[in-house]
Amino acid sequence: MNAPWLDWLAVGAVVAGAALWLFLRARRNLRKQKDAAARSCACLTGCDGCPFAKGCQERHG
Amino acid sequence: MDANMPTDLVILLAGNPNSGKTSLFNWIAGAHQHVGNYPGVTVEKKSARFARAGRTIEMVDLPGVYSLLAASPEEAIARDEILSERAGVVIQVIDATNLERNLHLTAQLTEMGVPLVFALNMSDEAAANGLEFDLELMSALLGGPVVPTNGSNGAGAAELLAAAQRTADAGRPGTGRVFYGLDVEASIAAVAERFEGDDAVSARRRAIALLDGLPDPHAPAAARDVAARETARLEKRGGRPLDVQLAEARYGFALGVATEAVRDASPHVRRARTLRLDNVLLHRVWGLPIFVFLMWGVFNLVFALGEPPMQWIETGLGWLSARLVAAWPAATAPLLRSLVVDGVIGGVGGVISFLPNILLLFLAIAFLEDTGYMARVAFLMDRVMHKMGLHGKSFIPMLIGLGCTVPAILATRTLEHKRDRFTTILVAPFVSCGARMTIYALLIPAFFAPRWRGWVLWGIYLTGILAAILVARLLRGTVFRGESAPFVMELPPYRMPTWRSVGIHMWDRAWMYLQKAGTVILAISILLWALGTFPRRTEFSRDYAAEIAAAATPAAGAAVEAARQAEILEHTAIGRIGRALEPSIRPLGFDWRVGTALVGAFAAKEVFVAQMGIVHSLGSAEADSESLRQTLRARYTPLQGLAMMIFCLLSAPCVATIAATKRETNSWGWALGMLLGMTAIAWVATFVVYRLGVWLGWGVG
Repeated sequence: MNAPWLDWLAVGAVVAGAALWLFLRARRNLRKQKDAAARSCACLTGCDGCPFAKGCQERHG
Repeated sequence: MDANMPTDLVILLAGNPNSGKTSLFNWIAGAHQHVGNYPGVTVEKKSARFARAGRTIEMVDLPGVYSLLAASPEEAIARDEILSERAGVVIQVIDATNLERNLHLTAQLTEMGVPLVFALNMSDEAAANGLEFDLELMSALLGGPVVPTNGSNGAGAAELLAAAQRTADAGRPGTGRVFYGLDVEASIAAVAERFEGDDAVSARRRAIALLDGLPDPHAPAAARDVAARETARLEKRGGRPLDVQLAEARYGFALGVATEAVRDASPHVRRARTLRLDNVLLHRVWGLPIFVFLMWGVFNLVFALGEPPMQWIETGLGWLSARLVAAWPAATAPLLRSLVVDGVIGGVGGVISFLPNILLLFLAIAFLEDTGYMARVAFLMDRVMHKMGLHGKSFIPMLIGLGCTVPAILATRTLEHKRDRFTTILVAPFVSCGARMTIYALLIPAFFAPRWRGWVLWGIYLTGILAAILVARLLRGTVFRGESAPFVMELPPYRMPTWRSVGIHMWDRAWMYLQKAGTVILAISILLWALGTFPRRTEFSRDYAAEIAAAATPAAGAAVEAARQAEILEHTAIGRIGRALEPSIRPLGFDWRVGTALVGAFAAKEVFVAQMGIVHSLGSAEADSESLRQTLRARYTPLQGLAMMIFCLLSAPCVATIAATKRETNSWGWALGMLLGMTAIAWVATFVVYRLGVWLGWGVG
């Protein structure tokens, strides 16, 4: 990897890949949120980070 | 079975949330269930059709509700379904371990004029707690058969279904009745008389509903007039709202049934222990200070126990970084080398090293939740919340916000009124989320002595809660004026959490954190590295190479090299953004580096730490967080560190929170209002703290 252009190419690919991945993820999350908004229960959204997540199903039993 | 076959019997399953209703439904309906929505609303409808003893039965699992007053969509649906006249029988699932609260719903069901059957669920757990039930007496008092059941193993499900079929065949409405007192009963009779076309049961139910303040657009004008007159009379006589008087009578009914039909055979078991603990933990005066003290203990433990594992991770990352730098010659692919060392290890590594602190905090929260204490905290905060004009239920989203603000905002859906809901959405981001904890875990040990670390973290969390309450008060006094509704808070018995439950919770947290660090934070760190590297400077203001060569001491050479690195960084995109921001954040004690980290934090709060790692490690051989803390100590004062934390606590939440706010309020106005409002509050609060600190000479040296 001593050729400078190869260094640039590798870095360019990594940075572009990261940007594309973030864009696709943001788009997917927005869609997921849209779907979740149609449901009645906040717990059905997957409860990322919710300390009560483990009780989601029981709560609505 | 044939979906077109006519239904012979419709059974409705009603009950409080958490009563085990759905478990029983699953036992009875098995694989025949169908999940859909009630027409026109987003409330889930679960039903099943199956054949038993030669007849086709449709069973509907109604939404879990505490009352039938139609205050929420769930309550309105449950009430409408019960009154729809298609139900042959209603089964109420009663949590035997929480009898009185469940019987409040029973009191209202008895007024519906439908055949009733009662499933005394979790009765084995109640028996283990020392409670003995007189089922015959209970059946007589409630006006329908009572069948002991167990939702977890299906015991009693077949008997319950058989009892429901028998009751439906008999077609006799439940005979239980709440006595509201002579005066109120006279008023009920006076109003009921005006419903001329209704039968006695329906007229009584509609009369009570009118007196309870529920709208009945089809009620005769005469009934409404009498109800208004009687309401005014009874409120004047009783000295409190009539709906409160009616609720008290229903609780009296519940208490009466519980007292007569239940015997507490062993007062020294869990029930008694729960009462004794509640006497202390829910004390009117000491309850809140005990909570505040407990949180202080938790935050001290987070640092005391988290320090050694954090050191191990930092040592590991330092070793990895050193090995990589040694093995990868600087002349070979220098850009890629910088991306890996400065961007990936400097950014993601810094975030990973705080995993122990995050885990300890969530261990404590999981423990307090599993013991049943967190429900008590919500109960304690109910009084404070009402004083501040907020609904008591608002504290639950705030507790959820300790993990992540996005589910906290979604959890506000449990609030019935728009004003309660919007207020809670707008203040929930003030509660420190887990991501912000990463920022505190970097800055607090960097600037404060070990004995003050727990205090500072405790103060930061309390400041967030206090800010939420004050802003809520402001909003309720201005844009969201109106009364806040009361609510029934369930208080589960105290339980010792199991290692398995806490272990699973910890594992989930650790996995989520590492996943985020390895995906989102990694990708953002790569982008931030690119912004902090390009465009590259080729011409310098000084001949650094000559100055370094001429430096008299290594320290002098290092100082010149640091100046060169600073000039390189300032020329990059991130440096230019930071410089552009600097005039607006300089009054807060922040330089352009902090400015770039604050911008990055808008993507995800952990990025603040990653970005601080990147801007302070670009051009440096070491990329571990300990050297970052040393750099921070050398570059900023403790007062500046405190100012950074206050700004991160109160400023605009991350982009996911803004998106969730837009989605839940269905308005960009509120989402952008939150963004600008919080940033303004953060700026003013940080300015005041920083300037006051400078003026007093605190933490500036």
